[in-house]
Amino acid sequence: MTEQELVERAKRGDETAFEALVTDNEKRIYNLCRRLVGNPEDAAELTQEAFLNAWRGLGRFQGESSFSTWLYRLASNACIDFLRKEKRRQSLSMTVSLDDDEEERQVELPDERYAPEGELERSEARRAVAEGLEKLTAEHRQVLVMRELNGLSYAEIGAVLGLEEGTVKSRIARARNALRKVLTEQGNFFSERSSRK
Amino acid sequence: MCDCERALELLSLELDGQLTPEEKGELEAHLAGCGECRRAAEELRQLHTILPELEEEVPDGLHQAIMDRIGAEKVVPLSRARRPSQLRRWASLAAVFAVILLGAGTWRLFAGSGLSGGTAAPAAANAAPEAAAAARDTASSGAESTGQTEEQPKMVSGQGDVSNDVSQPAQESAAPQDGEGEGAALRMVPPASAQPTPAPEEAGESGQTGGQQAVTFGILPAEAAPEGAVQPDAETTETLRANCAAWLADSAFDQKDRVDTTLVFVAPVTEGDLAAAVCDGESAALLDGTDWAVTLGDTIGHDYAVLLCDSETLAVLGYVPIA
Repeated sequence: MTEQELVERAKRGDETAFEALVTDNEKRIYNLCRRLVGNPEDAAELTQEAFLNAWRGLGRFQGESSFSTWLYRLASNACIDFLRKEKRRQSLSMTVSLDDDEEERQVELPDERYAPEGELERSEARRAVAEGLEKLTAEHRQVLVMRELNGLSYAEIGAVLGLEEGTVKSRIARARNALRKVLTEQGNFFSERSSRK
Repeated sequence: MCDCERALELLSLELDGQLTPEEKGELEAHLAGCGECRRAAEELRQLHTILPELEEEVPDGLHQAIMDRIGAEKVVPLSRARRPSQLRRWASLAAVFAVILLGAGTWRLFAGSGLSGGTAAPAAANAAPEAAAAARDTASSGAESTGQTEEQPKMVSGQGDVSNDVSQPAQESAAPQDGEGEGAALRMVPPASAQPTPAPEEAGESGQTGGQQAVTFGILPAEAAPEGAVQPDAETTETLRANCAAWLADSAFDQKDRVDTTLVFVAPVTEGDLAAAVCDGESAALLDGTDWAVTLGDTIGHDYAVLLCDSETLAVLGYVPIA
């Protein structure tokens, strides 16, 4: 069944059809939220809210874009709103919060301490990149995650964010370079990796 | 000519396979002579490889948690507000009928004694003979026969028809159509079920039982709201439209001049709207689930705006960012 057919059924209250839409989209929506807000708990909550809002708002959804585009937009907006509120709420103390973050992440990947050396390095590299992502602006993080993790095309990203394709292209280029800069400034990310080769 | 800034952009496009052959040539020419950019190319490629590896599986239980919350929603997307809406419409139509009937009854009363009745009566008097004749014609082939020799009052709704044979234009024709009734008991039959799509009312629902001077009719809403959403009445919609158009004109939105403010669609605010709403502190306190989300303009494309308005004052409280 096509997405459109599933949406038509879901609009009439067919929860099974909506569940199929959930299954099709949940991994990408979760990962979008995960990388935008930085922790799994909030990401899970925001993912649930995105789908719930989609379910409630189905009556208003008129097919002006694809369902998944609309869903991305709901999730993305909810994450940005969440980040704004979090920012207002927190008073950031740089050194303290950085240490906390690192400890959290070590807890998240316990098994990899026992992994073969190559894999360990790889997982540390991933962690470094994840941390680097969090230092980007939400705008940059948004496009980079949609392109690199969600695999959305420039056109699709443009549809989600309401941007021209040209704007998407240049924003992604700037985001990539911003990430590169963050990782370079932070320490040895690139020099270590290239010296290993 | 290609400088480093341009080269970095081209490198990004190359990662996504979006380079034209010309651009590729341009890039390679630059890289041949620029060590900085060659290093940048390598680093960008590494990131491009690692980033997708950050993708995680959905945590255990999340899918079920989502479906549990969906299931816990007591209302279903489309049929949510149909019932109150239909009842409201039916109730107001019923009130109109009641007034006309009273007027008609009064006319009969006074006509007998040579006096004319109230304001409703002349209209009733004029309409009655024609309506009665029309009603008689349509009813003659129908199931309703009461054995009365007098003209039977037949209230025919805008859409359905008591005999189920003749279809009438779906206009509010309740007012002009009238009948006289002598001691007619009015029995109003509400629609058997709230259906999302208009369907002709079956004669069975509005049939008369023999021997009873009962008038029954089925009523359907004159127009079906899109997708079954609750909408405010026409006057409220117009007020909302005007308030929002004025607010938009005063705003700093890029698209405000491209929004066609003659196009308006109003629906109750959703949780998503509330979560995404942008408004100042005072207005935020007033914003709640009873308020209206007013969409101005053409939603195909980007030349539209979604504004949130208070259900009581109809004033604009804030807006929902589109992108």
